[in-house]
Amino acid sequence: MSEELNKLLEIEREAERIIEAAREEAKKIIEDTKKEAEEAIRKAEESRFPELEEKVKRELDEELGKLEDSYKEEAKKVYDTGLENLEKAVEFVVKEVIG
Amino acid sequence: MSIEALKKEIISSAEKEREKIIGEAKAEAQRIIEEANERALRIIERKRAQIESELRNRKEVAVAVKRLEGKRMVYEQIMKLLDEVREKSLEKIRAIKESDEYIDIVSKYIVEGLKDLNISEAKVLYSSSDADFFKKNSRKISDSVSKLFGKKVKLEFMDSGENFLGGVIVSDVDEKVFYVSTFDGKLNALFEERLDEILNILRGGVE
Repeated sequence: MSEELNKLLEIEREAERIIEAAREEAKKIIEDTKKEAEEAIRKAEESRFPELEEKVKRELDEELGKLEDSYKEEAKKVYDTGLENLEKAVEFVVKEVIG
Repeated sequence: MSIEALKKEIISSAEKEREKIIGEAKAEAQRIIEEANERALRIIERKRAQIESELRNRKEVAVAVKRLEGKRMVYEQIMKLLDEVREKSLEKIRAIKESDEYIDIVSKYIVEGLKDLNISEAKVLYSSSDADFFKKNSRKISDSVSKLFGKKVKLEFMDSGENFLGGVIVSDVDEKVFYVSTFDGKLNALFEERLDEILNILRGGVE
C-alpha cells in the first residue's frame, strides 16, 4: 500500500512538473511577444520618411526655380520697359521741376 | 484501476492542461502582436501626417521667402531706374542752368513766391553756387519779374549761404515768411509725392 502511494505521489509530481513547465513556456511566449511588440512600436516611433522628404524637396526646388525665373523675367521686363521710357520720365521730371 | 492506468490518466490530463496553457499563451501573444501592430500603424500614420504638415509649412515659408526675394529683385530694378531718372534729370537741369532759360525760370519762381506771399517787395535768396549768375542777371530778373507780375516789384537778391542745385527762396523784407522754390525741393517733392506718376511713365503709361 505504501509503495503504491509513493508511486501515485511520483505520478502527481510528474504531472505537476509538466504543468509547471507549460506555465514557464507560456510565460516566456508572452514575455518574448511583449518584447517583439515593444520593438515594433519603437521602430514606428523612430520611423522616418526620406522618400517623402525627397519628393517634397524636389517639388519645392522646382517651384522655387520657376518662381526665381519668373521674377528675373519680370525684373528684366520692368527694367527694359523703364529704359525705353526713361527719356519720357526725365522730360516729365524736368518739366515739373522747372515749371 | 491499476497504477499504470492511473498514471496514464493523470499524465494525459496534465498534457491536456499543458496544451491549454500553451494555447492560451499563444492566443494572448497573437492579441498582443495585433494590438502592437495596430498601434505601430497609427504611430506611423500620425508621424507621416506630422512630417507632411512640417514639410508643407517649410515649403510655404520657402516660397514666401522666394517671393519676397523676387519682389526685392524687381524693386531694385525700379530703384535703379529711378536713380537714373533723377541723375539724368539733374544733368538736364544743370544744363538748363547754364542757358538763358534759367533767367525765365527763376523769374517765374519769384513771381510764384510774390503771389503766394501776397507781396511786391521781397528778398530773394539764392544758392552760393549761383552767386555769379545773380550778380550778373539781377536786373534782368527784376525786370522780367515786374513784367510777369504786372507791376513794378522791388527785389533784394541775397546769397543764402547755402549750396543748393538752383532756384530761389523768396521772403518778405522782414524774413518772417518764406516761399521755397528750389530745384532740390521741387525735385525731392516730385519724387516723394508724385512717384506713382514717374513710375507710370516708366511702365509705359500715359503721363
